[in-house]
Amino acid sequence: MASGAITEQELADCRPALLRYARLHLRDAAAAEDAVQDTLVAALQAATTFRGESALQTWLIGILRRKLIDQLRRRSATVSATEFDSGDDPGLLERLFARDGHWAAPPQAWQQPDTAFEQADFYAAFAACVQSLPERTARTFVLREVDGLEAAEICKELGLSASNYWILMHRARLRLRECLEKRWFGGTRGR
Amino acid sequence: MLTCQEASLLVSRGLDESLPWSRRLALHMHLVLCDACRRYAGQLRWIRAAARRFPGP
Repeated sequence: MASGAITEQELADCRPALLRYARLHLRDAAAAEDAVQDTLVAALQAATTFRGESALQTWLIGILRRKLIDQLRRRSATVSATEFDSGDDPGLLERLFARDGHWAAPPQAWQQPDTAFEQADFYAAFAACVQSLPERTARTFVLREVDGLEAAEICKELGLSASNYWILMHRARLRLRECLEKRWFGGTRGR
Repeated sequence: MLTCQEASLLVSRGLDESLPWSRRLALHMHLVLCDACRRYAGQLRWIRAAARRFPGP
């Protein structure tokens, strides 16, 4: 049944991309499914406001992003800063840097990186690398780098001090870069 | 002179806020001389550009 200018089939076609997006935010598969379902329901109700200036998927992701961020705001009051322990991968800095502070494992040159933007396989590797981070580190990274929220807003919502945020993002970026180099750019280290 | 470990932390911080001028100057001096950290900075900017296009095609 058509609703406004959007058919249910068109919405269903966007579902896999929405789910990939939700799974970047939420480890819990059922919670991610719920967020996508809520988004599709909201989209049907608001179908007449979709003017088609942007692609349908872009519009839907905008709705989903707002839902995920609202949800985070409601929950963040119950999340204490101590839960942001950098916890796993305690040897990260020792692995990447020598004792004198030089790179022990310097970044390698990446061949033709921009072709990755057009490849679904790259985004599967990207998602896998994000999901290999500790959950709250991953979420902080996603809010900043995927969603483009300002750092100050993320600190406020998540109850992080500025210095905790710098360290957390530093570790996230070191790990994500290393992961992409191994998984996508075929670095030979660590094989 | 910053170490690479210190410089990489400032590169990351500089993607999230404007650095104090003394830190910015120290980082700039390091990046002029250090190929590895310059490459690191470029790759972090590239990762951001890639992330903003998620979920991709």
